[in-house]
Amino acid sequence: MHYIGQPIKRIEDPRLITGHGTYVDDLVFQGTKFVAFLRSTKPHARIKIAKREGIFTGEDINPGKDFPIATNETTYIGQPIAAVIAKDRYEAYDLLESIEVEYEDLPYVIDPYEALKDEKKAYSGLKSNIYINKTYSKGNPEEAIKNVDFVIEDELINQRMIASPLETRGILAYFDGQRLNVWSSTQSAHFLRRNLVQFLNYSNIRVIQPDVGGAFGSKIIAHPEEYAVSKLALKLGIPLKWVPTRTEEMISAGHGRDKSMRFKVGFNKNGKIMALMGTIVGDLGAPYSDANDDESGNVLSTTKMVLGPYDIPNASVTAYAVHTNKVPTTSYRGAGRPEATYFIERIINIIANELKMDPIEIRLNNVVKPNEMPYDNGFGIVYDTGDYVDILNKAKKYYTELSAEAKEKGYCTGLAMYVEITGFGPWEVARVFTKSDGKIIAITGSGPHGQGDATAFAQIVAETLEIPIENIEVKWGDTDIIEDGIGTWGSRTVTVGGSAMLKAAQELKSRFIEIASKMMNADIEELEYKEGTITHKTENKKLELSDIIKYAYKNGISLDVTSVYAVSKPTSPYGVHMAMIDVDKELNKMRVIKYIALDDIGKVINPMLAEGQIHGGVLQGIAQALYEGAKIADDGSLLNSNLGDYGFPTAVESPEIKWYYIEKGLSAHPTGSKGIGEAGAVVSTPVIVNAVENCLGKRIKTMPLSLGDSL
Amino acid sequence: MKVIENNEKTKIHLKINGNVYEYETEPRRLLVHVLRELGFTGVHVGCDTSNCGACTVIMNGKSVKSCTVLAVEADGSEILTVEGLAKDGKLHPIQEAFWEKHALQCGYCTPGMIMEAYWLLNENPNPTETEIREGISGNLCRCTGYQNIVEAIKSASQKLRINQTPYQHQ
Ligand code: FES
Ligand code: FES
Repeated sequence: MHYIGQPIKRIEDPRLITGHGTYVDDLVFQGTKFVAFLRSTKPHARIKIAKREGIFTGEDINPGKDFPIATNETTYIGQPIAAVIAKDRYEAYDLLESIEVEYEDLPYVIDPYEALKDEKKAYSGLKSNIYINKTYSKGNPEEAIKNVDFVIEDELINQRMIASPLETRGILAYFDGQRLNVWSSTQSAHFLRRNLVQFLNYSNIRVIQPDVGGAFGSKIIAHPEEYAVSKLALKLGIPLKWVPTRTEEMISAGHGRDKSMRFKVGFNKNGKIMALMGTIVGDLGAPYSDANDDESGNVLSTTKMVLGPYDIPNASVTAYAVHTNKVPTTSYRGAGRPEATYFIERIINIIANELKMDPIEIRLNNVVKPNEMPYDNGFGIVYDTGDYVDILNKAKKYYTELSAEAKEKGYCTGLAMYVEITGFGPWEVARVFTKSDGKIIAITGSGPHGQGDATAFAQIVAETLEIPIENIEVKWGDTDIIEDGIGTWGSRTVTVGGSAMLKAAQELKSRFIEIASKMMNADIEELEYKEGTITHKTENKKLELSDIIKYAYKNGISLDVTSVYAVSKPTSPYGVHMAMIDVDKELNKMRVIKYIALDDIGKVINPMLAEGQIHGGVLQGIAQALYEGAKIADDGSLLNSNLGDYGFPTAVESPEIKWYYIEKGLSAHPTGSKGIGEAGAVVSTPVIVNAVENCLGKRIKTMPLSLGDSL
Repeated sequence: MKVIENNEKTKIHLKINGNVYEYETEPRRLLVHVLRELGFTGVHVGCDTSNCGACTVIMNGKSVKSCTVLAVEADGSEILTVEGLAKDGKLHPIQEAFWEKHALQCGYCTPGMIMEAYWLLNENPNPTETEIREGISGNLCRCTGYQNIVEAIKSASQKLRINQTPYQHQ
């Protein structure tokens, strides 16, 4: 019964393909009322709202404060400033129109470089717009750059994106007089619970994460509306539901990336980079602390990872995270690592073009060598395992073929490499127990929302217990059914959640064996466990799991195991991706024809699911290169606030993607795996931009390319 | 001529997946919300500008975005939603193919995507890859990158053609 490593079909699918999933807006209690929020139309203003019956303001949610709901001062267009409660969503939106708001404009700042000057504060309560200012250094770049053959200085922009999961956020909250019950489209029931407990100063809270229609980082934090609806539900004692429109979603949530790097790089004739200096500026948007805590960590990730898989001996990079009067930015698939990969891979491509060097050769001249692993990059990150030289050599074969085809057909090719950090701690929980009828229930503390981890967990438990996968039911997303949990993000679930699951399953298995030893009056060493049957090695005795389970319940022995798996360091997958692109200069049109991904993510638990993650991530990264980006006007308003204008790709724009993997660099976790949830989005953006740049022979600085600025 | 005032409700009849439902509605209410209220919560809302197709159902033989139809407009029509595709617990070949090819992740676009595929394969039982991609271009998916959806529809078209007695609804 080998399940690990097999392309097992998803156990999640039957409900979802028949329309029987339960997403938050599918739920309703008798008497549920609908909540809608009025949102600021000004980037920075003092506000006064005429209070009336049925209209709730910041004073009702967070008296005297401007976050989560603005009370006196609003700091971005889209910020919630009042809420209404009505019979249904139609009447709620009618009611919104009747609210009177007086705005008194305040000076606002949209451009992060202007915000750095600190002349206009994004919020009157700020001492400075600068939230983080931190420099990472190694070697002596000032000196080293004097002795190189070439120096290039420039700026690269990684634009603001909107995560845009197909299901927006949404919440249903109901206080039963003792306990607040909350259903939310979130990435973690447990993390949301902890946030609500703190905000409401009330601990009898149960949070349920029902089916969630994607998130891509946008549903990690507790959003202002989630706090507000929970507070109102606690206060009013009636079931309340909130689901925003797509336009509201786009003007208020899921904004990510939005970083730029000004750099100076020194390199030699062979393409070897000797010194890198630069400044990375990340735009945090308005000072909403839940978002800022999330995104400022991502700005640091960008900076700590900006050296890529390369051994750059001298480097100094300063990170700024700065407030502006825009939607607070949060994690978006990759959470800081895509920007890092983008900057360094673009720099490498620029150098390669300058020297007319092969893209693989220049990388071979710079990568960390296998005998240097584990490798401390000097900016606070250790790459644990892998062989970057080997994967480049393997990529050479594909790239040579692709280039030959491109030459024949008049297309262009480009390539990029990445190293990633995944599997973040601090811990994750798993619980595995056996019902008296023999059913095995496996519960994870993480919160899958599309990635298919439940299937991977079932594989892990089935393989450990050597029983058919059908005997296992996997559950998650309810703070009542497991001790605690962290959540699903940072490509951590299969690896960290899976290691917790593996530990719990192993412990349950030992418990089975212990009970059998009691039943057979034998030492544990005398027993052998195989496919759910325990046999005595020398005597002719055997027990089935069903016998053991019956005995356990009858004798008051619990078959319920919870294990907490603690993690200290992330683990680093890596890979090389490449693409063939058709660039039509006259029509200003670009189309990706073929895309090849080659990854090492350690042990692959389920190749079908891992490949699905690559497909999805790669298209999101391609879309950043070619189509998507939040267009923000000078007054801070979002110009493309719907899925038509925003550039969201359809099946027509998506290319054929081929995925290959090697399993050379296993992680130290019990699963041996590394994360792949974000890898596609981390690397595909520079792959595409490099290809277009190679085609045009002209340096590209901004995205998305289809806007035509680059041509 | 029948005139319904703004706040007035009117009775409509919808035949959904073979059963007739009676519903009282204001003229402004969208079909998508009525379908969901009647229990067809597999019909999803992904946007407010008719771009995403998560709300796609078959109405009188055509695939339509039910967020862009008023419920009163749909009075008397026959509607097929994803809940009506499987028969006697047996999955429709398109549903089977979506499962086999891993053509869904979060599953939110899936009901609309499957209904669009159902319509597409009715119109064109043997579509090329380009025809499939164009055929589902009104349906957005954020998770899959579409490739496995295209594969699933290809495989479903084969299954449906190999089937001697073509699968028919009702
Ligand atoms: S809900 Fe998006 S098109 Fe209907
Ligand atoms: S599977 Fe998530 S949107 Fe398509």
